[in-house]
Amino acid sequence: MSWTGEETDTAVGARVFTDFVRSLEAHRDPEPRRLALAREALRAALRGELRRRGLWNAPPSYVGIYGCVSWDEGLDELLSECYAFIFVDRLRSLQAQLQVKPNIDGLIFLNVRHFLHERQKEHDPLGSQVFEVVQSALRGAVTAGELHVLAGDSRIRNESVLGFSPDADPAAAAGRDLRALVRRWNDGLLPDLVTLRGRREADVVNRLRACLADLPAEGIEVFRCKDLVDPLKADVRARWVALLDQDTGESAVERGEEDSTRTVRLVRPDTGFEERQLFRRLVACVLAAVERLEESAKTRDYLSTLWQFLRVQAQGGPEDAEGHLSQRRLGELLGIPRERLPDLYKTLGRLLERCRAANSEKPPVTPIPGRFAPDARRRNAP
Amino acid sequence: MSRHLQDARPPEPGDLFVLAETAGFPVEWAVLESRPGDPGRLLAVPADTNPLAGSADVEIPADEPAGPLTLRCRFGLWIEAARFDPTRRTGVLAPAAVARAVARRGELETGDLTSSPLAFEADADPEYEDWVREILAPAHAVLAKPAAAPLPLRGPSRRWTSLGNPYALAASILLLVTLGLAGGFVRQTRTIADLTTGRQRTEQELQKERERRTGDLRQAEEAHRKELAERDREAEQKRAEDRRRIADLESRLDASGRVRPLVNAPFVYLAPRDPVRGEPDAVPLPPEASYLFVILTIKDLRSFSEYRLEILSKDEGKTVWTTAGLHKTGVTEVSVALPRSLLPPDDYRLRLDGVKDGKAERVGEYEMRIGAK
Repeated sequence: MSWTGEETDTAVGARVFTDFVRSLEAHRDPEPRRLALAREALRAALRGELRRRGLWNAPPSYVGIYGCVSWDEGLDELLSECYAFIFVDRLRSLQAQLQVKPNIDGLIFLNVRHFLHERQKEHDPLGSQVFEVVQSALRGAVTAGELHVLAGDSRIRNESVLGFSPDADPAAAAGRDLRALVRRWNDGLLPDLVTLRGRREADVVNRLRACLADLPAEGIEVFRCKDLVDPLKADVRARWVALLDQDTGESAVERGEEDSTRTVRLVRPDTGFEERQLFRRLVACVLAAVERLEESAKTRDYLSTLWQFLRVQAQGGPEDAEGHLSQRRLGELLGIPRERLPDLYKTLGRLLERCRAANSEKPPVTPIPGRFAPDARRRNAP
Repeated sequence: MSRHLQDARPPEPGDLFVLAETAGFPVEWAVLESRPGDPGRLLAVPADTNPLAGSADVEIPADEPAGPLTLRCRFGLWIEAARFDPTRRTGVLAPAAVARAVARRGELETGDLTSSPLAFEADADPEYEDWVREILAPAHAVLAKPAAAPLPLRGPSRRWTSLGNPYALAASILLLVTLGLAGGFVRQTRTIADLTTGRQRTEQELQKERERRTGDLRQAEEAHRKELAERDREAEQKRAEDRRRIADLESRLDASGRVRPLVNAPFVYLAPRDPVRGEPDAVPLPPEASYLFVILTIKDLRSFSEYRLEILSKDEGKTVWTTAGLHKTGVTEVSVALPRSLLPPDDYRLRLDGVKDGKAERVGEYEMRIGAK
C-alpha cells in the first residue's frame, strides 16, 4: 500500500494521467484522444473511491450532486467537478511534480480522495462527522491495545475488520447487526457526536471508545468498521430528521408564538468555490466570536452546540424548504434548557450579522426575519 | 507554469521548489526567509494541494499566485540555499502569503495560534493525521538529515547506503571479476591494486564524513542547548507575567470589596400603574452610574409584615430579579438599589406583593424603561 492509498498498479505502465498532464504542458488545449482517455480513467477512479467510502449506494446529494437519485445520472456532473479540481485548479502543482517524478498517476488518485473527502465533509456533515469520530475512537482503542486490526486497512477504513483478540478469526465479523446497540449508545452520545468539533471532539471520541467495551458483553468479539459506522450514521440521521416536521436543512431560527419555531434558511453553500469559501469564513467567524464572548463557559458551550447544529443543518439540507422546529425537541436533542433558546438565538443572530458584515458585502445568509433579527425592533416599529 | 519559471536566479523568499530528495512525496517547498546573518540558509516549509488545512497551516486560495496550496508551517526547516536547484523552481507565492506563513511560524514558536476554529477541526480529522504521518513528517525527516553529497538531479530519490549505490557497486565488482578472469593474472593484479586504492579512498571519505558528522552533531547539540535556555527564559518571563496578573487581580478584588461613598446616585420614584396602558416611565441612567435606587410608593394601605418584589422583562416576561424581606418605610414606600448590570436597556415590570401569614397579595405593579426604546 502506498501513500496514494491505492494498490500501486499505476506504476506498471498505467500512465494515462501522466501522459495527459504532459500533453497539457505541451499544448494549450488538451488533445481530444488523451482527454477522452483521462476522463474515462478518472471516472473509474471516482467510482472506485465512491465505493471505498461507502457512497456508491448513497444519494449523490451526499457529495453535493442534487437533482438525481442515483449515480447513473449523477456521475457525469461529479466527474466534471473532479476534473476541474484536479486538472484545472491543481495543474501547476501536478506539472511541478513531473519535474521529479516519472509517473504522477498515483497523485491523481490521491487528489480524487481529497476531492471526495472535501465534498463529503461539506455536503454530508452528519455522515462524515460520525465516521470521523468512530475512526478516531477505533484508532485510539487499537493504539491502546484494546482492539486489533484483523483484516483490511490498518488506518481504519470501512472494510477494516477489528477484534478484541489478535488471534480472532476475521470471518466472524460477517452478518453482525449492531443497530440496537448503537441506538443505545446514541442516547448518551448525541448531540455531542455531531456538535463537538475540533479541540472538544476528543471528549466524545473517548466516550465512544468506552462504549466499545459493550461489544464483547453482547457476544461481539469481531466486527467490521462499516457495520458499526452505518447504523450509527443511520440512527443519527433518523433523529436529526425527526427533529423537524419537514426535513429542511434550515438554520437560522425564528420563534413562533407558542412552542414552535419557524426555521429560516441559512443558505447552504452552492458548489461555487467563492460561495463555499464565504460560508466557511462565516462559520469560522461565528465560532471564533462565540469563543471570545464574555459569557459563562456554560453559555458559550450552549452557543457553540447550537451553532454547530445550525451549521450541520445548513450544510446537509437537501432542499430549500422551510419547516417548523419545536424548541422543546430541539432543547432535548441538544441538551439545552428550552427557556434559554430564545436568548441563545438572539446572541447568535447578532454574531452572525456582524460576521456577515465583516466577511462580505454579498450575504451568504438570508437575513433573519422576525423578532430574532438584531434590528427587528427598529424594523417593526411603526 | 513550472517549466516557464526556470531561471538562474538564486532562491529567495516566496519561491516554490521541488526537491529530488523528497520526490517520493507529493510536496513542494516554499521558501519563507533567509537566516539573519547567514543568507546561505533558508527557511522552507512543505506545500501541497491537500485542501485539509490544520491550525499550523496557511491556506493559499485558488485566486492567489500558485494557489490552491497549503503551506505546512509546523514542518519548516532551515536548508542550505545550495540544495534548491534553480531549474526546479515551480512557482512564486505572493508576498502577503509569505508574510502569513512567517507569522504562523511565529505563533507556533510562542504557542499562541490564532487559527480559525475550522482549522482546529481539521487537526482532529484522522485524514489529516494520516497526511501528517505519511507525507509531511517523512518528507521533513528526509530533509532534516544533513546533505552528505551532491544528490542526483534526475528521477526520484532512492534509499542508497552510506557507501553509495549498492547495485552499482555490485555491478562494478562483477565487471572487475569478469575482466580479471579473461585478462589473466596481470590484469587481476592491477584490478586488485585498483580495488585496494578504491578501498583506501572509501576509508578516507568515510573518515571525512565521520568528522563532518561529529561537527554537525556538536553544532546541533549547541543549538539544542541554546533553545532550551531560550525556552527557560521564556517560561520565566511567562511566570513573571502570571504573577503580575495575579497581583493585579488581587488588588482589584481587594478594592472591589471596600464600601465607598456613591455620588450622583440616580433615583427613581415609581407609582403603581395600570400595566396595559401607556408607555413605561423612562429612567435616565448615566453611564457612570453603578446602581439605580428605586423607590416604590405603596397606595394599598393594608398592613403586611413584609413585601416581595419581582422584576420582569416586559417583552419576554422573563424574571430578571426577585427578592423578599422588604419593609415599608414610614412614608409608605419600599426601596431597593439595583446594580446596573441587572438592568440592560429594556422595558421592565415590577410586581410588589405584600406577605402576611405566609400568604402573598398583590399591592402594586410598576413599570420603567431603561435606555432608549
